[in-house]
Amino acid sequence: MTPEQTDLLKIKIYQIERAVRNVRLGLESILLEHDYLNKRKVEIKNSLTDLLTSGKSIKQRSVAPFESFYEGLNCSYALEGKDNKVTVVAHGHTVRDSNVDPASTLMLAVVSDKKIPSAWFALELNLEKEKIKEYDSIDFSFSPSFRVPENTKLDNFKVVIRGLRGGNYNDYYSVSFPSLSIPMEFKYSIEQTEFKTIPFEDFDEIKLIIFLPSNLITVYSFILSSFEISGILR
Amino acid sequence: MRILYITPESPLNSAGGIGTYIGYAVEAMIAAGHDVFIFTWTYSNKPIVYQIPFNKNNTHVEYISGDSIWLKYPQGPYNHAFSQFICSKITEFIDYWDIDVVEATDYLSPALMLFSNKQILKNKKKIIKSTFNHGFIDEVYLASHQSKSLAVACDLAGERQQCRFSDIVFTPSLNAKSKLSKYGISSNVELVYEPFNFDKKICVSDFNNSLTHLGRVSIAKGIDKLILFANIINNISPLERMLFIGKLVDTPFRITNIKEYITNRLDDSLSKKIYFTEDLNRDLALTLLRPGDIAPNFSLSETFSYSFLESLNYGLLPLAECDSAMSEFYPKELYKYLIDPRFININNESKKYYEILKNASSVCGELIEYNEARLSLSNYSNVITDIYQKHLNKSVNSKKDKIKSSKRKFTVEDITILMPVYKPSHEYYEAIDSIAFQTSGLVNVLICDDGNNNLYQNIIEYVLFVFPNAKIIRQTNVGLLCARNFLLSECVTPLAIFLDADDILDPYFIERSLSIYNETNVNAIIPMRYNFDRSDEKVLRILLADHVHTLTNDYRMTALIQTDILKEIGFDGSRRNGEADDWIFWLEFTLKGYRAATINEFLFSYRFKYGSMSWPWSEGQKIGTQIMLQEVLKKAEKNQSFLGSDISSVNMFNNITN
Repeated sequence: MTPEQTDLLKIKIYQIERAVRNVRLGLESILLEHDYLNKRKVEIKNSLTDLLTSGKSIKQRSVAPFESFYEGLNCSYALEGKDNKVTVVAHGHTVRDSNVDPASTLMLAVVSDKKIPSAWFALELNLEKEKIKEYDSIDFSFSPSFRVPENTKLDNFKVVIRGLRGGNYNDYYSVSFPSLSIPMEFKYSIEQTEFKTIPFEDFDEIKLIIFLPSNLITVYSFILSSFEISGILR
Repeated sequence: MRILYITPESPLNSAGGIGTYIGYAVEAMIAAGHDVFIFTWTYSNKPIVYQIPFNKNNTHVEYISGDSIWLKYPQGPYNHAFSQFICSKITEFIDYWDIDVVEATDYLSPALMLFSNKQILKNKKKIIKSTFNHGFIDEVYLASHQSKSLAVACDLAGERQQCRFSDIVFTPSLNAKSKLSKYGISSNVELVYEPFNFDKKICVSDFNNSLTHLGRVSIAKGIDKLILFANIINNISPLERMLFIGKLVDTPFRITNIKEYITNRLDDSLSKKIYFTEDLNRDLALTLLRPGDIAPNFSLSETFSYSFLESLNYGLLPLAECDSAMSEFYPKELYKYLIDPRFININNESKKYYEILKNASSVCGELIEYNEARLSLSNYSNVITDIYQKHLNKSVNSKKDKIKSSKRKFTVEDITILMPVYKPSHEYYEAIDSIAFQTSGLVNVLICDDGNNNLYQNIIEYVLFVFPNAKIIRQTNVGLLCARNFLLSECVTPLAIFLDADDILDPYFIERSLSIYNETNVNAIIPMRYNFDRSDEKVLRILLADHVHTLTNDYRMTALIQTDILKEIGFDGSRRNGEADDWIFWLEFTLKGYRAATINEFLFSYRFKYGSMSWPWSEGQKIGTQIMLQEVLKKAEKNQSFLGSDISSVNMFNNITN
């Protein structure tokens, strides 16, 4: 396939995706408006959604633990173990002179030190505390997939909401998902009863953390092509 | 023949009888011309020093940190996790060393996951899987008078399962053979005495009225009987000395300190004649054996006893009880000297003792003569080589294999995914997508719409976007189990897989299951399960066909199963409260004599979330399930046994869990 054909295919796929997404969002908002009247589900802006809908690219590079590679986004892993490594790359897709919305795909390549493997690898997203606490409940949807060597099965990956103050933190609503080699759109909700138990005022920072599988010796890639947070305002 | 021993103990890292056995077995098999390899492990950082015949070319020592196993499998059970942890490593060495036969110890089931693979193939040639039965820890718990939790019981079931998954189980005595048979393990069992070299044969003409105990000093090793025996004979003729060589183990009784326990119960006149050495390595312990002493061995859980043979070799007179594993070292003519295990007539037992003491020198000679040839290294290697050779020949040309090769090869077209759906959410899409992405290609999909309204029906119809040939059947809302029965009545393929509308199949699920189904003669293929959502647990247990499966649920319905069997067993449609119908199904499956193979890969993701059928489990669900279990157990009682196991083993527990 020539690069031009690849581009054309991409355009078609993005157009279909976009069209389906818009129709769905349109229908959902109508239905939700009907159901909740003033309590409408609204999209919550965040850096990860911003990156994945920006069409921006990030050149492939290793990132140090907690080093920001995009505003509000960083990776974390243990400082020990010289070969523990996360490489970040984002591919932007834009179609010039068209109405197709830009999009980006984020890929994290994870390598463990064989002697001192990191106990965790994570993608961390800063959430705006003042905004997020205004919601009654929130929904996440995202489409991850994992590229792994043949015959390798990764552990589940986990998503948590973490509140931080000083050197201390508390995790809320830990939920795990299978790390599949196929793209799978997952969706989950933190319902009102659970969301209101998070004591936002006790924390300086709120993060959403995706803990990637901590397989000790496997080299793998985590690919994220969409990520959305929405919520119902109090 | 290229033989690989999988063992936690060897002369390199010996701790007891298993290490002694491995030392002799390796020596015997090398002498018989075989290539021998060993895979062992240690939790210590201290490097193991190789010694002949174990060298770097034929020995692999895995340095293991218990933490790394807990980190990988935090929910355990530990022995299952360990066996999963080392499974791929052992497989590497099977390939690297080009192994023909694997012999693993049953102790803590290190080869459970390796052997759970229906076949281990090397260049399409089958490798023989064998287990040497050194005795189940379950029996040691009993002998130690210790209770065990359900979690421990589940873990220890692995020892029995490893035996069941083995092509051959070697057992070292008739006593051990009968213990195996109690657990329904008999068809693959071969009696092979452990090898022993009588290299000392110390002869003594005068025997002392002194008792020596060699081995752990514990209730399991028959300390109660030894105390009773010592007091009886001391009463008639004062004992000169009692020496306890071995590690001291606390008792489960009021006096927990074993030294105090023994001292308190022995006659006061013996108090200054008792000596304890505590834990010693084997070589040092053997130097303390004093020729001419008496060495009673009343151990309650032994399958074979090197202590008995070492004592005999060093000029001590070993005593044994009737019907114990040690009694098998006595020739028929000497049965009259075997001690009554129940000590019904104390006078008789003391008479026996003085009778044997009078003839001790000749008895020792007869014992050595009787055992030397049959336990010789050459006899061991001849017997075991013949058995291995027979199995290797069989695996090349067996009738079974011919049947297998003539068995029709099933394809994805022979499989239907059966999915009952009620009030689907976004999770339903994930379930359907996971079917669509199967590497095997597209399968048949049959959905039962269990009385959903129009809105949900629209969601259900997503399946038609992905599988245009999928079939949706509708019924009024009558519940999950009726929906399953309805799906079965409409299923026309010979194989089926139930999938709940919120669970996820790994992309390789069907490819792997089908491949194993086509290679074997089982009725179902069960993958390992990975819980997700609000749980994150790799469910490692393999309880099917073990009596512990009557105490705890272990499987879900997501497995490749023959449709006719699913239809035959069916589901109790009157149960509407999420009782553990899957548990009942798999118990009935076993009771009817059907067999399943397990794939030790996590190919099924089971959603575990609050509000689902299984969390929280209500009182009603628990009792409902107990009623269903009672029905199954009634059927088992009719057959006198359950799943081939002695039903009395089951009664040790009072709780069941889902």
